[in-house]
Amino acid sequence: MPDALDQVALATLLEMVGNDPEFVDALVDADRADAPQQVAAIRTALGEGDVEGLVRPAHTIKGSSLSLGGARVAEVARTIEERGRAGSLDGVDALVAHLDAASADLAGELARARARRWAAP
Amino acid sequence: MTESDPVLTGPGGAPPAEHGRILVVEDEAVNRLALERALRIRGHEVQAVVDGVEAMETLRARPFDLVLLDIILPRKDGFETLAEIKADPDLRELPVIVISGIEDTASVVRCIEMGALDHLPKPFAPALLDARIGAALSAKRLRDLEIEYLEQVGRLTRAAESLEADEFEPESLSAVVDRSDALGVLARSFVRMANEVRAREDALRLQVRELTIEIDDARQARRVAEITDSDYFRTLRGRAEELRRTAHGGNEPREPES
Repeated sequence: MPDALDQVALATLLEMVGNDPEFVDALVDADRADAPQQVAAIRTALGEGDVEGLVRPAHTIKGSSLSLGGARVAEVARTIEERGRAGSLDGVDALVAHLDAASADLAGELARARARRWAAP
Repeated sequence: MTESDPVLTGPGGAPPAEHGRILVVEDEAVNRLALERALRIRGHEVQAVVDGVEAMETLRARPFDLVLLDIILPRKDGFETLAEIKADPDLRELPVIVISGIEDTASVVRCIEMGALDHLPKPFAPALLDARIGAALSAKRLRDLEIEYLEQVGRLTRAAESLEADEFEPESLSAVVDRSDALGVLARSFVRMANEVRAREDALRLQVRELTIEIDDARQARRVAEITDSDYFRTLRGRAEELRRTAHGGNEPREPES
């Protein structure tokens, strides 16, 4: 299982946006605001047995998390996306629980990184 | 947040080699905002939209040099959007770089087969971003120059046809004669020679008109001489003189000599 926070990915993001910590603050806030809606969409699709409905929210979580260094969240989301593409709901319940746990870990790591102004520990 | 970003310098403070007008089509907020920001601080003019429908509306409303297109999008996905761009005669030359997850090779291959120039994997790496966008913008500049050159060669060809039809207007080549390359030299020579030919034709027409007048005068004089040299004319003239004398002297007119 990957680390909750990939410091190299976070450093790359910081470099890409001109080493502007406040801009990274805004990106993380945008992700934290959007992520619960995407997780809710996954739960709704799961509840309705809508396998295809898993793909888009899982794909969105994966893409955003990868850019912010959320390697573990991205990995779980990628697995859910693949299940959706394969037309299988097997184990998705457990994966959503993993996603919640990984998201909580990532939120904690990001809060610590923000306190360091996104510098590596 | 992104609207007020100033145009700064490229990576490492160096001025970017190529600036362009770039449309970002990405529905994920984090990647869209990060990409917009990264492109702006590299000196590019950026507009961002969230789906393929907005992308097509934007592309048809104003010119761009490059499109960064995500594949999985709401309403109209990257495949449909790319197909629509390549089917539009006004947009098909526009380079498209596909944004994709690093593992999504099949989608990238499909997009490149459909006409995408390249792909950019997520998460974005600054060096790769610079290299791919720089290469795409250079290719676009070269293609724009090539299209302009071919269009101006077409103007020169049409000018030659209009010269044959005696309908040539030098203003039709004004954009071509301003070029500093060989095509500009050719266009300037063409216009100069066309003007010389026209001046000679005007001079010849004037000479022909003057000659025509001289010939008409000579022909008229010859006809007058032919008439005045005839016996009939001499007889008439004799009768006229006699009539004049009679009128002045009271003498009866004589019978004209036959």
